Amino acid sequence: MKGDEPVMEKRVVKLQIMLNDSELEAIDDWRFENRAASRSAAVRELIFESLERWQQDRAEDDGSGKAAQAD
Amino acid sequence: MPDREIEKEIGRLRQFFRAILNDQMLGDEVTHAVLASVDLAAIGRLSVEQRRARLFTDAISIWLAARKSGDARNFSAGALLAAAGPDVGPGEQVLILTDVMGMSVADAAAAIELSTADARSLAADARTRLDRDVHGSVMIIEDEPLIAEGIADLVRSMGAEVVAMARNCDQAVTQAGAMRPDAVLADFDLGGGGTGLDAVKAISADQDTIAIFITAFPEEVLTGEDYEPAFVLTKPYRERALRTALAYSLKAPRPELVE
Repeated sequence: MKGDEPVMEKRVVKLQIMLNDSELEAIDDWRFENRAASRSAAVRELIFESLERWQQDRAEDDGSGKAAQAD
Repeated sequence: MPDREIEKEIGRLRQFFRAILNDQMLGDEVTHAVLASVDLAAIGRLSVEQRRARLFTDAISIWLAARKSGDARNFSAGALLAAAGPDVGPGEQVLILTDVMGMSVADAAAAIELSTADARSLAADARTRLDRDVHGSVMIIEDEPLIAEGIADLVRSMGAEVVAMARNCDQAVTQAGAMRPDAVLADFDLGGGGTGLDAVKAISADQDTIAIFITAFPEEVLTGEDYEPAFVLTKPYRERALRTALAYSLKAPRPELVE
């Protein structure tokens, strides 16, 4: 499938994670309470929220570091 | 809440996305994501005959538009949708709808908003591309030796390699573990040897192989509640259906499993 044929690219990847039963249950609880369409959607949303928080914390740390240097 | 008729059509839509994306899980995720933007209540008010065309047209146009928008936030359903294709042209989409799912060319053309003549011509080009240079390893799960041999001959005639032939569920799981085939062709009813669905479920839990399922009772496989294979062919199936499903599954891109 080359030349003027449609470009066939891989754009989505799958990531495997290992979970124990209670971890899976915790994700399912979050999924149902937050009406996530699927387990995968629930995990994606949890990753998003966690990364957002991490980025905010990092920005705050940078801010306080710069403030300390200025003093 | 969608009624039973619409649920049935949503099941068919899920079948389309699984097959065209060449992956059960991604197909399901894309179906969820597009349905969030489809007005099911409006479709429910249409006549039964109009519902399928409208559901497919709306869902496919949302899928096609998502690639162009590109402004969805990371980790949202929209971001997944934007990254999930289509990586294949409309000809391949017509082939999945017609050859694999058994829709008429006119219905398939309506679903992806083409004229019937264009759909026919694009599908013919796509078929030529698909038939060329088919490679890959295939496992056949079938309890009737004569039928299994017939399928094996067809697979070999396409250029693919038959690496294993299993007659029951246990054999299938053992052989798939040893041979790690690219694709599995499975019959549902394996006589007294379990079901092909059990075999495919067990194999899929261990490896990222693509499953093409052959069954006289698709409603037993497509329940919407349990594991469902990426491709489902309804018996009696035309040889063309199996050729298209197998060639497409071996050639089309699919999500890569990363470590």
